[in-house]
Amino acid sequence: MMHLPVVMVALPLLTAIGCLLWGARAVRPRQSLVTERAVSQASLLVLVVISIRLIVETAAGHVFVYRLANWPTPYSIALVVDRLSATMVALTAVLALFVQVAAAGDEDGRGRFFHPLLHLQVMGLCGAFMTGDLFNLFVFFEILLIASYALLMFGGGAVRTRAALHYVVLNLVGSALFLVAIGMLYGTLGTLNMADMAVRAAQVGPTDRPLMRAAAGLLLLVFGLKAAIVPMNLWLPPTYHAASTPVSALFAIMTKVGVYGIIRVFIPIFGPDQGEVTGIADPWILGLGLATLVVGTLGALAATELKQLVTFLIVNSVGTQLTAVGQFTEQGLAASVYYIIHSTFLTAGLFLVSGAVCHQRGEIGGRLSSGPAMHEGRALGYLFLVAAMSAVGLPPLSGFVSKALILSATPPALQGAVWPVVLATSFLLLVQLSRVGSVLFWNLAGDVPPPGSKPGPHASRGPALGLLSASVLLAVFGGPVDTFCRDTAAAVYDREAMIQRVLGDDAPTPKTRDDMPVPPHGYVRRPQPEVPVP
Amino acid sequence: MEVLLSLGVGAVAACGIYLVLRERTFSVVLGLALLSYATNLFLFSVGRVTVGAPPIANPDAGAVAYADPLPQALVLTAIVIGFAMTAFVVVLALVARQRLGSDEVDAMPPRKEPPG
Repeated sequence: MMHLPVVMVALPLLTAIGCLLWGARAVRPRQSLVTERAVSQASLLVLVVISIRLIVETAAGHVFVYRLANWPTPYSIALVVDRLSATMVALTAVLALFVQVAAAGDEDGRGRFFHPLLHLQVMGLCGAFMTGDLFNLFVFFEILLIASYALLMFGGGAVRTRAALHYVVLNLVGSALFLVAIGMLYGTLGTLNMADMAVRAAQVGPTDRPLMRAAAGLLLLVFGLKAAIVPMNLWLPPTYHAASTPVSALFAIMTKVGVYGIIRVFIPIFGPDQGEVTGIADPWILGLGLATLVVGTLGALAATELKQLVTFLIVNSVGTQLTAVGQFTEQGLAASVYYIIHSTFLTAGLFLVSGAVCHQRGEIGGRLSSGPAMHEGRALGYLFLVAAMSAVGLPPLSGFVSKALILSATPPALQGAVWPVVLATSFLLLVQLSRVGSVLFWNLAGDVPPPGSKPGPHASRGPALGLLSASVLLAVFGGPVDTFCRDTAAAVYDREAMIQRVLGDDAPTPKTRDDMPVPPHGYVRRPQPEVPVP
Repeated sequence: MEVLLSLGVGAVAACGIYLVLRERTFSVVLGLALLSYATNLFLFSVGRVTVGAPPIANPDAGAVAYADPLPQALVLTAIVIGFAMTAFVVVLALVARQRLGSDEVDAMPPRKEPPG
């Protein structure tokens, strides 16, 4: 029971290693793929079950604090699983399972080692969602990034290589900046445990405020790069466009890592009632969120290709999440948690549907102009209809519920800025998606599919249906899910309880640098750590 | 000594940023390496600069200088990760040179091929 959090990291790692060794020794990669698929699927099923267990436990009020090697806090690196972490981990596991099933039809055979890479990606994601240590967050970021570099390249091709080169260089610069931010925070606060940082950030004196401000800005930049916030959004459309369909569906959760980082850093550490550092970046986050919303919508309007359109819908959804998070109220955060669940499944489903559409239209692919009929035009059309309605926010699907929650959560002072932007962008999306749907499914150049074309692998239809049915289910069970999200948001805002849980009874007495004796040679000394007893 | 160190970090970082903004992948890779060196040096110095002090705290000795061991551990991790990433980006640059027929970062693919 108490070891469940670490299983979420260890199991994907072991599965990845196992699949890698099995695949590497295979004489015929195609045949070993069958075993790899089975192992990978079984492992993901176990992950889904464990993550549901984590949700059940955390919903009952339990918070897992897993101290690695059982070193006393705050010296240990701890995995902290509260309701938000459990939700994000479950989201990752379920999404990965759907993606795995979709890829197991055909796509995973176009290169080697799809399944090991998928599991490394899942490991990085789960770790990033569970860690309670800022430097450990960096390490898990690197793991999920290096897996994503390789997944992006999966299948090869010049277009992908070019996109991958840009993506890798950008993220390496981002990692360097992340390290600088971590260094500044450690230098000022003397700790990297996020609960401990929340304690000490409240005691920062006015002289250290500029340093904290710079560090907060750098962190916002780094998380913004991952989440594709304006003006760091330029990499996302070409990258996701170039990736193969299942990979881009899996990447639907990658932007959420950035948003999750913003939630974890800017609410407990730089959030309300934190003395000098209170709300150090708040206006920025809301403003950038609204700008991202506008840019994503304009990009979607200008898109000339179906998958490109979906990538801009991701930018749009990031903007919506930040608009909700950036209000810095419990209700806003609750709405954004609901929106994150909704948009992860929706975007992944949309990618799978667009992949099938592009495939069945033959040579014309995803270009938004009159094309040939599709083999499964009717089925794909209905799936696209559901996805589009949910993306725009038309009732009765979850898109409507989530946007209504965000609008009703907006405090009166911000309504003048938030409401017009959210409503206007939704309207523009409605226009564009209606147009796209008509072009793709009604404005056909002929009634029969082009000769020689095949319906393509059917494997992605089931997962697409499953992912998009989340939109229906989230709306049908809107009440319980909303209550769950509200409790989750309340738990994130309850800083004292979290600090108590993580640091426990042996919470260190807060020390500032000024309290410490100055050593003989004049350099300021850091708080002296006690020698931990393992 | 702090001044010297910070000037050094600044100079290396500036060179790194300049090189990252160049158009050829080779200079970009060099720039990324310099940038990660600068970051590592910076990270090393956040535990305050101490000379000849052991990285072990001795509670009995009182106010004796010691070097903070945590930044050293962080730097070690960062170096390992940075090394792996540099190796990856070198290979990626070579693959890009081969597939795109050019070593420019913004090189266009030789022919139009549908992704997906």
